[in-house]
Amino acid sequence: MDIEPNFQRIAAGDRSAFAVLVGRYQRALFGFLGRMGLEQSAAEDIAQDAFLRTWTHRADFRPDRASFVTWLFTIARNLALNAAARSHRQRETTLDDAAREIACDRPLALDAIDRRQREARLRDALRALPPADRTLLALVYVEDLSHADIARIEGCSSGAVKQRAHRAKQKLRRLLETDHG
Amino acid sequence: MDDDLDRLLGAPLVLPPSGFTATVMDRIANAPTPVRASRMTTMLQWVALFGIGVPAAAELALFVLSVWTTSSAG
Repeated sequence: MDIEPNFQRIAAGDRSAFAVLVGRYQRALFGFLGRMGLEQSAAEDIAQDAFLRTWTHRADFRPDRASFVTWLFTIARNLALNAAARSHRQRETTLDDAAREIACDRPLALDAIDRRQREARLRDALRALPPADRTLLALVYVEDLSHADIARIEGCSSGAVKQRAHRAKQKLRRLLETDHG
Repeated sequence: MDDDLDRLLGAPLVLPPSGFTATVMDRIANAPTPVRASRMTTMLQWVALFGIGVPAAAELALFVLSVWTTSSAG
């Protein structure tokens, strides 16, 4: 779907055109927020806020500088990082604590547990990653975003995106493999 | 393992609830409309700032100068 012509209508205040965009990108946005380690209710709040901000700041959107999806995910990324920082301060859980928790409490091998357990373990492992790695991994699996888009969101080169994604995945794999020992 | 990890990461951990679009659109309908200053208002703000700011700065400079003149003469 080509969204740029739609955006001209949105910029003019057409809510029905914006509703089409919300419908188009909500699944990708929730996927991203889930990989950021957020629970359902927190993801819903942030997704709503992200769409609300894109609407209220639609006059600031410059299609010549970035695509709508890049802009939306930049807003969502910042909101998610702020939420994660707040929640991190509340829990005061260190990376080591989280990794230990994953390793000790769930001793089953990755391929031997059911989907829900896998998801819970993945969420814990994602939360144990440093925020920069978690954000990058969360963005890399958004189908609508190219490496160039992610580079724009993260403020680095496309090459750096590939390298950082590779390293983040290795860290995540190590965290998940701690379960096997 | 990588395929497994890719599959895990590719599958959504959270999903939009049914009626999510309607919820967002309701919030948009109830959100206050941001008031944007018109070009004329912005221009008047600058004129007022310079109209008051420049004489005030000159007044302050004169005061400092007079204090300095008095103290150096004494």
